[in-house]
Amino acid sequence: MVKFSKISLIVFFFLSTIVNSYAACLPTDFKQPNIPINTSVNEDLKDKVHVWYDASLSMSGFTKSQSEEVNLFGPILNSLQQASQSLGTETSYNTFGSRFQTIDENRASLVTTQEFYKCTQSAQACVKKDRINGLSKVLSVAKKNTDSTIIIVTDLFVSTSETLAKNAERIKKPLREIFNNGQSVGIFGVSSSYNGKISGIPTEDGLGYVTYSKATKRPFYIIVIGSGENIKFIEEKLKKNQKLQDAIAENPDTYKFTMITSNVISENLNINKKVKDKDLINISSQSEGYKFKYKDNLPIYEFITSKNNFELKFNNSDFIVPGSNGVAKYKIEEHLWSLRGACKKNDKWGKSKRENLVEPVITDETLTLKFFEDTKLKWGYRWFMLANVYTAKNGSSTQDEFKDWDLTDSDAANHMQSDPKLFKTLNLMNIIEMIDDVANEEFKPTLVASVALNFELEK
Amino acid sequence: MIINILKTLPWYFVGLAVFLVPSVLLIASLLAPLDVESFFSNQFFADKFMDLETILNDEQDPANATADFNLMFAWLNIYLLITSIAISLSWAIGSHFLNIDEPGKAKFFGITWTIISGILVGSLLIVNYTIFSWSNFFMAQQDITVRDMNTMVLISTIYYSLMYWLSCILGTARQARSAVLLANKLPARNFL
Amino acid sequence: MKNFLIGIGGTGAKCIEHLVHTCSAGLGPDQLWVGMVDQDEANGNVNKTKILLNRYISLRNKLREEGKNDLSNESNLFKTNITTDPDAVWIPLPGADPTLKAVVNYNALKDEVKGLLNCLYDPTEQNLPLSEGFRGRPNIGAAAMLATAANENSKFWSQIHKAIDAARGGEEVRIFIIGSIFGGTGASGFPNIARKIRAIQEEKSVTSNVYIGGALMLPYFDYDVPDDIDDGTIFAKPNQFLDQTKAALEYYSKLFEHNKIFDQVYVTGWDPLSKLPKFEVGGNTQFNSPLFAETYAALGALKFFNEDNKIAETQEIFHIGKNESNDILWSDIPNVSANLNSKDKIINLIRFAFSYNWMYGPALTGSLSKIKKYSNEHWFKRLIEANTYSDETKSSIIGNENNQKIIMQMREYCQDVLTWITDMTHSTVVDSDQRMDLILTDFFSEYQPKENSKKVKLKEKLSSTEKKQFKKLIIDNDNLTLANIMSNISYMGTKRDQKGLGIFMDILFRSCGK
Repeated sequence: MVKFSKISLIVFFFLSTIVNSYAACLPTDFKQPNIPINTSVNEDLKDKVHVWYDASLSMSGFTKSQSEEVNLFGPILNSLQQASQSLGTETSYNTFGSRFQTIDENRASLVTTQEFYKCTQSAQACVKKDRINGLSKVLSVAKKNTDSTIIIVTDLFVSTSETLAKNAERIKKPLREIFNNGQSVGIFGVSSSYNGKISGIPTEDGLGYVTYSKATKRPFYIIVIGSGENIKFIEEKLKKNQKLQDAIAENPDTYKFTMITSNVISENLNINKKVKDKDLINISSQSEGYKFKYKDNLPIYEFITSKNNFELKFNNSDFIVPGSNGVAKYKIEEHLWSLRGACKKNDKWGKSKRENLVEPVITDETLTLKFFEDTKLKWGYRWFMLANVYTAKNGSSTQDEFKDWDLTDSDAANHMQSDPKLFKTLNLMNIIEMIDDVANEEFKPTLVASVALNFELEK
Repeated sequence: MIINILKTLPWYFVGLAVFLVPSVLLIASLLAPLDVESFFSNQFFADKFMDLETILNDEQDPANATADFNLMFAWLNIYLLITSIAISLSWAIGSHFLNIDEPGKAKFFGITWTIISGILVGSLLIVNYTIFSWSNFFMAQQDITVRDMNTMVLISTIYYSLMYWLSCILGTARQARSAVLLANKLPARNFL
Repeated sequence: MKNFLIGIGGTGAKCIEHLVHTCSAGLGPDQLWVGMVDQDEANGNVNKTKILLNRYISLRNKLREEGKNDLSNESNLFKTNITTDPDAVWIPLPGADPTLKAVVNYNALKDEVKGLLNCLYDPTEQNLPLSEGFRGRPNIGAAAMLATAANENSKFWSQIHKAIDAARGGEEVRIFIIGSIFGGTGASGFPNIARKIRAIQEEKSVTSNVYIGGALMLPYFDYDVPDDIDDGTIFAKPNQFLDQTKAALEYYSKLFEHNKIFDQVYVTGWDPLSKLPKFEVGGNTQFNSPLFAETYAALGALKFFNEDNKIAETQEIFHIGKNESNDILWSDIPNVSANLNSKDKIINLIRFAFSYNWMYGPALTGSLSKIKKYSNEHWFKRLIEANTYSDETKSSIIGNENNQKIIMQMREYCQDVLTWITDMTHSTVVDSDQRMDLILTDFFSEYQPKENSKKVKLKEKLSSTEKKQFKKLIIDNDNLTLANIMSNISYMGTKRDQKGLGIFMDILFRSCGK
């Protein structure tokens, strides 16, 4: 018995020494960063889906076929309807534009027919209503349904007045709330055949509006407001459409997509321990003294090296919402401690005042953190580096591809006079940029990852 | 020959002592704990040459840094001292074996002495840069700026070169004095 | 102690040459008077020895000037105070052409005496002109010497008279005679001069303190007589040497048995006989190279004069010879005493002569402005500049006439030494199977056997390669280099009584020793 107690004491002491020896070599004033708790989404709980169709008269042109062009409106909307069914527990259909109302499934099924877009009011009233897009109203509804996914099908032909002053604010205000709630806005653009009248085209002199009937092709838009995942889900479903694939194959400009969000980060890398030892690319895990361990969700790399700088590489796909514009800029919160000589118990670490220790390098696929590129650390010291990586600014590259379809107010008359086959969308970039601006306003830095390097630097 | 060498060596040590004694005192001061009073102020060199700014920037203890600096500087002086003594003693003894076999020949060995002096200066520089830069013996080498390091290198090289030169002047074989700069200005006596 | 050396004939004169050099090396006594006896007044070797003696004496006097240039009494260089008379040669029969007939006053002799004379000497011998020596006829020489008086007024014999007077006063007097057992003057003079001295001693009733030693040279050289010489010409015939020697030895055997004229006799010779290249009847063309056996005679004399040499009551005869092989080595040179190692001293002298002649002599020769280029060197500052400093001129007076004369004379003397040793090295063994392995000579000199008076030509200057060979100068010796000498002269201490150039000369000499 005594012998057993002795052995267990020794083992306990030994183990505690190991633990303590690891724990002892940390700065005394080191505080664990606040790593968000993993609130896993209950995937069984699906959201509601609200589909809004732009019922303005000019939309009817998408339902008529054109001999020389491929009609994608129908196939895409069919795919969309199926996707929305899969996406949510409940799908409601609504119209806006000429009529702001909820419709039933029967009515919804006519969205790809001319019948859906008939205006039963007077011609004058129909024309007047046709000029108003009414997107702001839809957005106002969307902001109230933060748990739902909103799908808007529209030609996005917005008059200039709707993008100015109070009207702009009507679009922006709900968007703020949408982004504040962590939702994203996905914009799909599909260039489809068109056989109809486009109204609300401003004249050269600014007096009144004119119509254009010669267009054979025109883009329509599907705006999805919801979580990045759901937007991604819809994108995948739409892309599976064979006709769309064929059209893209023939002309890649047929399809455009962008996702605007205030928060492009899908998840913090620490939560599910996605930071791996292999991410530290220029230090071998086989090298002497190498250890990699998570301590309360904080990955700590421990090693001995003579190299002056290190690189941590993460794949964007691990933490950035796919399809989003990504991150244009990161902010690194740096903390550096040093200890002169080898680690001994109760040693006082010094907290360094050095700055700009970590440089993030962004590519389309990866984020690389370059440590100590411009700083020379002293060898013979033990160093402890804690880096908290935050997003500083979202990217914006994917929106620019919509510029091809953008029609400004001043160019509208000229564009019409050129007898175009593909008629561009009025104030398209205004709307997209407005959405983007609001997203940027609501941008909050998000903690992408926290990592610690605990290393002994040799000469 | 051995007797002639033994007659000259005391003078060699006299010449050496002029610079040796302060050097030894300095080394002793540097190796003594910081709080101990010593002949030289053991904070002086650290205060003058240590880059305190970067040390404080990393919130390191200046006292530890000073102790490390002093240790490094002490060992630097020890190695420089050994180098200087080794080469000057080699010259002092070796000068007796130079082939000065007729009048007027000694001055031609000035070339030999110059080469050896060059080797000495080179060795001192190598020791300096080994301690200050190339080796990993002393962490404190990082606590000095490049400019201050070069200043220290220059001062120490000059000091130990002077030690070498003075010991050569007095310690060179009498017949070889013309080979050493200014050694032939020494008075020529039975005992010197 | 008073020491007197008499060299008889050409052999005696040659042995004196060896003796002078060994005295300059420090093997000799403190004081020595030297005289020569030769009927052949113009004999080449006698003249050469006279010149050498004068050079030695002059140089020694200049370097023993108290307060000026002084080697000091402790120095071994030119240790022996050799004195001689200006006319150091006693000619037994002076006059233009003396003959035996004239000496004995033949015409005044009674008939029976005339008859005796006619039996003993044929007319040719009676009428032989004796101005060029006794031509290998000791019988003529003996008669001539006995017929002449040991006149106290003669410069030569006055010294002997003074020596015996000094013995009477209690001072020990040692007289050494060197001569050959063969030939003319030497053979006749050797016993007869000794007899004359004993006679003077007896006359003056001096019964003690006078010791006579002698070196008797048995045949040691040979020469070829030219075919064209006239049969009637009287000259020393080499084929008669051995017979003469045999007869002489028989005579000496009886002499020593019945008459203790000599206290110590040193007998030496050489086998095989050294070959002399040229035959001369006499006169200033009779000039023979120094030969090794003569060194034995000189060393014998120095041993006799040495204070450690206690002269016994009974006559002692010493035989000096070399080892039995054909190689002549340093070990063949006997020591003068237990304290005086002949070999070391002679080697010291040779090295001194070499280094002075080619290194230091030229450096010190010339005006001060020329010599000044060495003024920064330690040896010069300490040994030359400091000791030749003039308060008047505030500079060294090494360039002045007197000092330059000393420097030049020393250089000449050194050349004599080098010539002597080189000539002896070659001449002793030329045309024989013998080999003299004492010093290397080829790198600093050229031996011209066919030359009569100047067989050895020393090189004017030596290249650095040749100078390096100095290390091997002395064969079979721990080799001193010129660098060692330079080191030694820089470190060796000066002696208290030394002055001027004497300091440098002595230090250089000592630096060349072991």
